[in-house]
Amino acid sequence: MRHKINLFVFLVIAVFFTSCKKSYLTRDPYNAVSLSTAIKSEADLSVALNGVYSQLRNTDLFGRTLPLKGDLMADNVYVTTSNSNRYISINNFTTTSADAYPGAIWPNAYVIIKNANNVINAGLGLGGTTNTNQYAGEAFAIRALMYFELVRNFGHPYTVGQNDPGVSIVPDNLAFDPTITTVKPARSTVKQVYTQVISDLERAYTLMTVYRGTAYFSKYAARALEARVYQNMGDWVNAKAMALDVINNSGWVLLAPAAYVSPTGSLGGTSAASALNTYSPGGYWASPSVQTSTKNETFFEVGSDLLSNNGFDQIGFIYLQVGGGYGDILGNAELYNLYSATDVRRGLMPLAPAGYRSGQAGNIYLCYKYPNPANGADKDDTKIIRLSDVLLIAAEAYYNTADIPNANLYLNKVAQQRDPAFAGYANAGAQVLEDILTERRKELAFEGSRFWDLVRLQRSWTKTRNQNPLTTIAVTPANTQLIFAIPQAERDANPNIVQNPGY
Amino acid sequence: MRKFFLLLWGVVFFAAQALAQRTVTGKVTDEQGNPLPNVSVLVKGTTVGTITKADGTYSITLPANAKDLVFSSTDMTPQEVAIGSQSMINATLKASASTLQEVVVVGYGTQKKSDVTSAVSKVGGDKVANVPFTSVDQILQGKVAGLQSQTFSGQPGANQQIRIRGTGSFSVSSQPLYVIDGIQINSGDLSRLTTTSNVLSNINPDDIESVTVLKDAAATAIYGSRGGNGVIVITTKKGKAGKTQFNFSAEVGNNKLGDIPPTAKALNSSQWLMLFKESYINAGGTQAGLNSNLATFGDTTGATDIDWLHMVTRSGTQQQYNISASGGDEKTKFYISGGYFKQEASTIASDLTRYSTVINIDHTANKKLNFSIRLAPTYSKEDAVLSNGSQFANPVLTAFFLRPMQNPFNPDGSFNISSASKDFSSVYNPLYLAAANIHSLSTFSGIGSAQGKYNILDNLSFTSKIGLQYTSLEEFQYDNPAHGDGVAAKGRGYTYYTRYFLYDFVNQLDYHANLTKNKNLTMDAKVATEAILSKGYFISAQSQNYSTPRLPLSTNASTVTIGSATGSDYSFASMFGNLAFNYKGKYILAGTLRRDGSSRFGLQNQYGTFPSASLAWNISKESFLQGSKTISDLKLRASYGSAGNAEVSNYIAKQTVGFGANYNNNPGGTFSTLGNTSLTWEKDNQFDVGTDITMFKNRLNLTLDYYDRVSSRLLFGVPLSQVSGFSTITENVGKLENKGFEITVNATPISTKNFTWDLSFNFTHNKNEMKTLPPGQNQIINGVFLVRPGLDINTWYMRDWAGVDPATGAPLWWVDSTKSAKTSNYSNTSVANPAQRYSTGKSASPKYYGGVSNTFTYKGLSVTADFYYNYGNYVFDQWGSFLADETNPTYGKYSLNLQRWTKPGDITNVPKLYYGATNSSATVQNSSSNATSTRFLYKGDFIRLRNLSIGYRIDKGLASKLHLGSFYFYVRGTNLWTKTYDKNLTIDPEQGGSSNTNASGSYGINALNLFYNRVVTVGVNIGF
Repeated sequence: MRHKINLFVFLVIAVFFTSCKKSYLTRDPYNAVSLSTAIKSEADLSVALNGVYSQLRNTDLFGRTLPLKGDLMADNVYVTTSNSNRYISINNFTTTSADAYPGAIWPNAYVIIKNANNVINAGLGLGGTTNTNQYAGEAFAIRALMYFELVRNFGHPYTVGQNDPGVSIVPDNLAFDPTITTVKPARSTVKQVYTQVISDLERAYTLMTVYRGTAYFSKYAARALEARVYQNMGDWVNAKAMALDVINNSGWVLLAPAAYVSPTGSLGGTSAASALNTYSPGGYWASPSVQTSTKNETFFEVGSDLLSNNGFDQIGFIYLQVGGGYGDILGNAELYNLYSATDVRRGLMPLAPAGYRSGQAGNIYLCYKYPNPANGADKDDTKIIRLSDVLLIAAEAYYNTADIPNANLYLNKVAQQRDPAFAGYANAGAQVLEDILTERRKELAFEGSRFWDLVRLQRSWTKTRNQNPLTTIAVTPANTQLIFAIPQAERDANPNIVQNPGY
Repeated sequence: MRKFFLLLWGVVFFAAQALAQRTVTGKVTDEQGNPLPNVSVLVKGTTVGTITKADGTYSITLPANAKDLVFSSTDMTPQEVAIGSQSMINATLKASASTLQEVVVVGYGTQKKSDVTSAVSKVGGDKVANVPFTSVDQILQGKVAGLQSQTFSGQPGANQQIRIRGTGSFSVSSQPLYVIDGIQINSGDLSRLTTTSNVLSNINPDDIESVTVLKDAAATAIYGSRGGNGVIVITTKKGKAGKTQFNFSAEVGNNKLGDIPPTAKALNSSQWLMLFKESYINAGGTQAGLNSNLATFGDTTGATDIDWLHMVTRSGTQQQYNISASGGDEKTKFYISGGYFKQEASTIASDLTRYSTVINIDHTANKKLNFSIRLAPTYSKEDAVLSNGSQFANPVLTAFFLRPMQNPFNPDGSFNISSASKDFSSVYNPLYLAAANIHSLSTFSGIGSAQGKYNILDNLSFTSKIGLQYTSLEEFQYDNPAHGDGVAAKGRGYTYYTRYFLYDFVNQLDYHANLTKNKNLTMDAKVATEAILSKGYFISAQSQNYSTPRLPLSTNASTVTIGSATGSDYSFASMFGNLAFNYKGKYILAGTLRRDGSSRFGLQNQYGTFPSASLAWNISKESFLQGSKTISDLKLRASYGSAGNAEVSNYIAKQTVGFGANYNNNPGGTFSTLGNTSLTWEKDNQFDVGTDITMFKNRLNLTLDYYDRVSSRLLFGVPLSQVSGFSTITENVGKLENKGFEITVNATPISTKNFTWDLSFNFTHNKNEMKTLPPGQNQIINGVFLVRPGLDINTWYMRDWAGVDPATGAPLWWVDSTKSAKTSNYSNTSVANPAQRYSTGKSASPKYYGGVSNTFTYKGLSVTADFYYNYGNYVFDQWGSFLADETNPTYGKYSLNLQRWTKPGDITNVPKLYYGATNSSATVQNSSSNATSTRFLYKGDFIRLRNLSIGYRIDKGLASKLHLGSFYFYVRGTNLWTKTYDKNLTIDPEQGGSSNTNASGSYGINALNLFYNRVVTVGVNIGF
């Protein structure tokens, strides 16, 4: 008996010798490396920066929601009755703190800020070569862009409430360990956030020396964005200075009308059947690719290509009626009617034949600024800032600094470039501002700009909610939907965040 | 004369003695005197033995020291007979007086049922064979108390949701661990492109000997960090010594559409147009506007009237053929089988075909050494349509969403694939897609093992076993360029290759000791180590712009858009053991202990220890019950212990920068995983007390269990301020409890010479309750669910529908949970009284469920009816928002809409219809009449006749005349009848849900999965 038990014990020990070493439990991922070893060289820095750019393409940011929202909440477009159930709350001005769209803008913007911070911190520590400075500078510009979008989406306009709550500024000493649960920053004021944005753009302007094409931030792209920031602040002296630096020194040019838009093909007969639809706006807007060395029109755009894109969630599919598009968004007649017959931009908003969309009677105006979602070679890029925008900022800055001749001069640089037959604006007084706003609406339609013009100037407007039968929403500056609610998820995790009025 | 024979007998006897060997012959019969074939006859203490022939006779040559013969056969009480000087020994075997004599497979071994101290349920192979379901987990529905099995999809090869004793986790899987012949397999849905698939559908249920469901901690703790959700131990068939037995079965039939609730029926064309027009005028539209609007639909009169449900369903083929051979001698036994299974679902373009084989060889080299090898290569092919609501190609979606005026065919009979607005512009023509697209999964599954067992001493053995699971999945999706999702890409193709390789290596010592001389107190001990490594490998290719629709492989495309490869691995290293003391079979005390390490967890918490203790008291062996005519067995048992849930993703604990965030054709990486170095498994502590009773000579078996299972250290994403760049950090916080009771009754109420009635019944009540949430959170709103301490984890949370205002036809909701006021303001917070979301206490988890099975046998004729029932849960039709009302006027509509409000005084549940919901004043939100609310929440109670079969078994005499061992012929129908309990129900109550392993957040929600099938088959089962 005793021997047997001894034998058993001996064998038990022997069995345990067959057990494994600790390294057996070490299994590393195939598609990731640990954070501490991720950025050790200039090449690593470039990879990390590409990661940040790719996140700008997020459907909830520049991939779709931001450029769409700026037209949908304004007076340019509306959601059709037969729709895929997207952007209804934004179309109807019924977003809440639980709404999915603002609920995704907030966290995704901060994800980009976190990753941009990684690039900035690592890049500034990598010895200050031309390239590491360039990459760090681009990351500063991206961070500025994100804070700017956050503060105007979630905070009152600078022109109205610069001391109202803006958004949180990410603490400097964030540690990515379980103590992160104790990080609960309050909202900085609108003014503080704008100060941060200007400071980042100045760093970006200084650090960047290389032009890598329109898919990346460059010195003058940062400066053009800075002009827009000052425009939103109503700081016309600085807006004018920034705009003129860009116009005079960047080397960017506007394209000739035919190179900008020159439609080909037709929309087809009385149906949207894809075989019959051969329409293309042609020119600049039909080009699916980014510029790599030329300097036309666009300072910075978020690139999408054949391999990296948002699939059916690309912005083009929400407008496109054929080829797999949802086609939920249609243009307003009022906008269409602003374009003269000789204005090439009319080709970006063609009138569809009757019966083009089931359940949608009446005139159907389409948007063709994103015609390539189904392109087999490349996809549409989202324009972030263009030269025509900067020219119109200059015009507006001249108007606001009481220089009407120059205001009209810069205004006509855009207007007459797009409509060669147009004799040019020559009004005086307050009408000049209206002319500038009209021209901005026509030039920047479907790029998410219109809403911000109306909001920063505290205008009231009629928002088309639905056509046939027509229903509208009268929007006034008092409407609390003009800024989004802070997402409930943020407030649940961070009680230091105060909610916006009306939510 | 008699003396002569005596003398002769004496001579023979002495002759035999002289040879030191002699032969004994005899016949083995049952209690009725029928000969028993295949009874093992063994000389006790040796490996010398034989098997009785078909007539029950045997002949055995005895070795020198032979003393006793042991006769044994399954389902019979073994009998020992002293040989003495007899040369003819007849034996009469009795049917096992008690089921407690059965041997039950438990973790890493087997146990006599009377010695089992834990809560385990066994389902015999006869219950799972020859059933027209694709996988064994589907067959388990209603068969085991405490096991909830839900078929969410009628897709052949679909994954099944199994819950043993409730949902045990919030954010990781609540599926049990599957162990096949000792291998802890990679189970569930391993596909990456296919809507739903199931590793278990690669195992032919016909090859299964038994399924044991391990439920309490005493049974599961030996599986440590992976046992917490229960363990399903599948044992496949092995060879039996004796005459080679062949078994052939064939079954053919068809699959038709199961019941669809009448309220879900679509409107016909004239009804559809009538409601459309009415809603347009209600919305303030003019007749002229209506006319121009109607014109966009092409058919304004309703001349075309398509029943889309009928269009996308069919009568599909059901076939299976299985053949097996089993035999060998006492030294070498074999089992080989081959099977073919084909099921075409009642929904178009969905099917599964399986070819399965098994080779199982067991050899006893000598008294010391036994080894065995098993190989089970299987190939299956599944065709699965794109499912769920995000797919406009899903035939189930199209059955509801297409308008009845949309004609799938052109006048010339060809498919109508026009993308004109009146035709198939957004929701596609499913008939064309079924013909032109491909969505397939080919799986090769190889499960094999090699095992050697060495008996070091009589009572001490060493077993070494290596088990392998190799699964390769080839998935292919082709969307044609002419119509549907492939148009934008001018035809697109996906080719995915997925491979999982797993090994499970166990070295085990088993020791049995008599601690006292009189063998009253015995001890069993087991000590083992186990190493498990799984390696996943994934290649993905996507291409587009196809030269021709006829050749869908990617080589025919002009552009490759994705070509990527990656992998994912995990490993477990473990030691475990158990120890059991048994006093006279009356008192049994057992304990198990396992220590696990896993690559999945943080370096600070990589190892864990899982103990259990249990106790059983066989009261029927006490003197006061011995000889009881009523009670033959009575056992009380209790257990407490701890297991875990380690089914988290493989690299969740690591803080990493992930790649693939590419930009402008250059590589990009982002800091994407926050990680947590202290992350570890979820812990399940369970208490169980139960009793097993056998009464009236095995006519009544009763098992009762009460359990209390507390799952703690649950993984939760603890919310972070999103300003940090992360939304959550995963931590082991949170706790929930499942407690309940289970009743299993197996009875034979009537048993006469010719007629038998067998009744099986099981009942489970489970109560789930969330106990603790992450610090600082008093509730989590998880979509339409509210997770809050004190509530069931699947508690619905939405605005509460209060009907329709009879005066105005406006939709009404309760303002808040006090139900003191109704409002027609769904959510507008800028005006008074918006409706609030609250919990009405309704849950997606059933309160009670179980099965009832009756078998009536008259002579050779038998009738079996298996019912499954489910009570106390609610299901949500999330697609009701599109199909009810006219908010989305261009889609097909439920016939429920005919009950809409039309004039003051109407009492109805369907509000006044507004085209596009355009009456959206600040206070009356018709736009939200179809928004998420309890309006679309229905009672999920149902009873379903899961199986009805009528069969005839020809009697043994006739069978043997035909040179057959047995012959059984049957007709079977599954899902023939369903009773539901909600008159507004628009979905099948069982289909609400998701086939994901972790269904938290989607459980009970209609996902437009494939319709379930009604299968009618005829079959034959022949043994020879």
